Amino acid sequence: MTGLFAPRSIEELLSLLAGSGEHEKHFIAGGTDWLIKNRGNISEDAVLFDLSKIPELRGIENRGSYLRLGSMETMTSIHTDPEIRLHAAALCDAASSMGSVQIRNRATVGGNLANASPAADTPGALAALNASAVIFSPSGTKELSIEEVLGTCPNKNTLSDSDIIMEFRIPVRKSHVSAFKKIGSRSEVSIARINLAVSAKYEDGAFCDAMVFVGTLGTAAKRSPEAENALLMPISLRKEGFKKALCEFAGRMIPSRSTLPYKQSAIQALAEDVLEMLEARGRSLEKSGEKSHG
Amino acid sequence: MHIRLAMIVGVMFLKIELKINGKFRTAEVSASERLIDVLRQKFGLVSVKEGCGAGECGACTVIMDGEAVCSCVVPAFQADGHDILTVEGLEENGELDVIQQSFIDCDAVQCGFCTPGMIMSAKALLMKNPCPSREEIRTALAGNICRCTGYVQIIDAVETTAARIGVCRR
Ligand SMILES: Cc1cc2nc3c(=O)[nH]c(=O)nc-3n(C[C@H](O)[C@H](O)[C@H](O)COP(=O)(O)OP(=O)(O)OC[C@H]3O[C@@H](n4cnc5c(N)ncnc54)[C@H](O)[C@@H]3O)c2cc1C
Ligand code: FES
Ligand code: FES
Repeated sequence: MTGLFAPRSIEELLSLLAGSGEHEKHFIAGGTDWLIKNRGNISEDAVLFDLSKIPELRGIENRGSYLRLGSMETMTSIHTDPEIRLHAAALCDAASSMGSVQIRNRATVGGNLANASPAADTPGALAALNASAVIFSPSGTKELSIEEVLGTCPNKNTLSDSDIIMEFRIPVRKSHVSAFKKIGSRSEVSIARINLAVSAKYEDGAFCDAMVFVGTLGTAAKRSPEAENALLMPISLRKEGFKKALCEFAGRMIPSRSTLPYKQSAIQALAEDVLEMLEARGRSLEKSGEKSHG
Repeated sequence: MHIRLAMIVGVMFLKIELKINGKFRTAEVSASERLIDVLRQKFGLVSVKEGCGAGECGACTVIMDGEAVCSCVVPAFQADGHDILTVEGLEENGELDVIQQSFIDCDAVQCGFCTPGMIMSAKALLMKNPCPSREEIRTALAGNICRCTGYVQIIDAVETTAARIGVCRR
């Protein structure tokens, strides 16, 4: 007998979870992945939890040292939010480039991470912004990095079946800039073929404290230390160094994959664009004198 | 602790309450039904078309709480408590909505399969932004595929609608 619960609070959800024992559990956020995957083959004894009526999973707010982003926020609410645009530009870029308007109106940021498709767009952006995910379960709360949630297996996260992604915490960092770009098969509706997300501290044209993540090379967010180092190079060498480092990184991640040559040329084009976005954002940050950008 | 279950269902059905084209309605739906199934099969709203069934083509677009969504990727139980608008809800007192008339006048309809979805995507855009640029219209319609028209007449129709509504000057 399939059961469906639509709890109205986290407390209610946790009690229901604790009471649902060994039954197969499903969480449904916006349903854009879940419905396509599960329609018609939901197991007889599965228990479904609709997350759409839980207020604690919503909201975007600036808490001073970090932005709190509820896991049920949609791509549309994210990319139109002024705090996200200001402090987490890479996430704004990623959310606005996902699917079509109709998909962005439904697809949630929690679902995008939990689904763990290697082609997902927002996990890389969140990782580059050094965000953490707050996980709730009947046994307690924990805070994990995006990489910890994704683990190493494509299409499978590391959460247990009673773990719910409650919210994300995105540090608000002074003088930081960030950017995301992807190359997909179609301009609007496209599962990214490759994507690149970067954040770094910007000072007088130079970058430091860089975090660089690439999607689709096995998981949705693989960190590239060589590309992070390349961003520290003198400005005259930086662009070529960054491109070369990302090219080598792709070769290291998917050495024998038939898509490697495509991904290597795509990532170099992305590297140039993302670097330009970061530089432009850095300059406008310095001009505005407002030193707390994402 | 006593838990009030918002909904609990047996194998097949649960009851949802929603507003469709301005009227309160109830329906019994199964866990794997989609909003499109409820609209077409339970309420006979056959303007809602199924093309791909995977969120890719936009033929099934309806407006949910003011936002365009693909009804083929909305679980029916999540429509509980929400407000749905389809093409059938646009006509008033036997008169077509400006947007419907503009689609006709601009030759934006050929086979017509994509038309209801296009109209709902465009309607959602105009509800928020009554003076969209052509680029904004293109973005709003990017999730709607048309195999017949080549899109130019459709974009013209949306622009014409905006001009006829009269908020913006062109
Ligand atoms: C036409 C189309 C285009 C798309 N384009 C893109 C694209 O360009 N880029 C991209 O990245 N994705 C894309 N997607 C994929 C999808 O829309 C996203 O992955 C979306 O963010 C998933 O969110 P959701 O709310 O719909 O999740 P759901 O489908 O509701 O859930 C997905 C999975 O995550 C689990 N889950 C959801 N929320 C939580 C939570 N809070 N805690 C724990 N587990 C949870 C669910 O149990 C389920 O297993 C596209 C999908 C479609 C249909
Ligand atoms: S039928 Fe829903 S998007 Fe194609
Ligand atoms: S008019 Fe035929 S698909 Fe658009």
